[in-house]
Amino acid sequence: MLIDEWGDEWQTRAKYSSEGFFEIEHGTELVDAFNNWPSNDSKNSNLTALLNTRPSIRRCISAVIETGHTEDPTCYIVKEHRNENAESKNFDVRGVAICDLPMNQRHAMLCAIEYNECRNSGQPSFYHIDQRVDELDRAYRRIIIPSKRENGRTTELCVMSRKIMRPSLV
Amino acid sequence: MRILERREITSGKERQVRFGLHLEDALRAEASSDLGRLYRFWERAPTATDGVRYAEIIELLDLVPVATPDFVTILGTDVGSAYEFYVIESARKTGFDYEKSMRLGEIVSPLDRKFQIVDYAFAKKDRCVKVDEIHQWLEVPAGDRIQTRNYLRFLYPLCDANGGIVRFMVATRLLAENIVPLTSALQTPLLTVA
Repeated sequence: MLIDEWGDEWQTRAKYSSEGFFEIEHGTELVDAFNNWPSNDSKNSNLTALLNTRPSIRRCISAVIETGHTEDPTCYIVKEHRNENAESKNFDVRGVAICDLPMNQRHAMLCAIEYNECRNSGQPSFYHIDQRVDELDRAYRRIIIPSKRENGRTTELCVMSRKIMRPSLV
Repeated sequence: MRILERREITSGKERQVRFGLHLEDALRAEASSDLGRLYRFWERAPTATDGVRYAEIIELLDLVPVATPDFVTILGTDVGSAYEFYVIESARKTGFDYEKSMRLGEIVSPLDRKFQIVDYAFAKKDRCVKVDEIHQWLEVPAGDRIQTRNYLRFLYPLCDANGGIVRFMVATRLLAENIVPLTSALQTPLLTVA
């Protein structure tokens, strides 16, 4: 669990075990999408083609991150991104490195670190993130999945997320 | 003591809390310590246009040992990102600490690694001296006890002739160190410095 507070802004980022995450997310489309994620042996290496045939998974995907070209997580590239924030809808962040994303840098840096941990472990990771950054309140749960492996290394991550409502956001 | 920011991370039995402190307050509290002496030496060094001191101060300090903080690290930052920042010198009063040329991305403790990377990445961007009081709870291999360590840390960004931040000088003062039962380690930390 990480707590980060500065001025009147803050974020908390909790990493869950798969069991703990499935308990709090039981029955949601996020867990459903994760459970429908193809197993390694049947996985289609073309993620786009795969997602076109599985709309339930596609709906949950918030980003696809390229991780194969660098050892520096801040240089991971956003391949695909679903942008839900009205303020940043005009930005097309495809092809942009994490460190250059037009977003709060405290959030971006921690995303890079979390992506790096998932890439290195080669295992899905589960988070609950709650934050007020750049005057924006939001809370969401997120699964990061190592979606492509080449020569024994994770070269792509798929990020699935679901916004949730905490009492102060209702 | 004014707190500018607070970061906390917990994983299993281990925990860290970092308080970002107001520089003026920390200097007042450290006026008579080695950290205060080092700051005054740094203050008199030649500056680049925006007040960042040149990295040559490191060699000056070798010649004129104005202060002996508990722990000093010189970090190379003339590389890509904070993951690649590397240790040039690292010395504790009681012996060597970080291995030379080790990169921040190689720090073994995941808690420490996460915080160090974030701290240095932002300190390089902000280009100003940062002061943190850091509280650590480290798991002791034998069972239900925790090693606690509180220290005060000054981060000095240093630049080259072009103004790029190429080094960090890190100086710390150990405030408290103890081995305590796990139950008392769960208490909420308070600032140690006055």
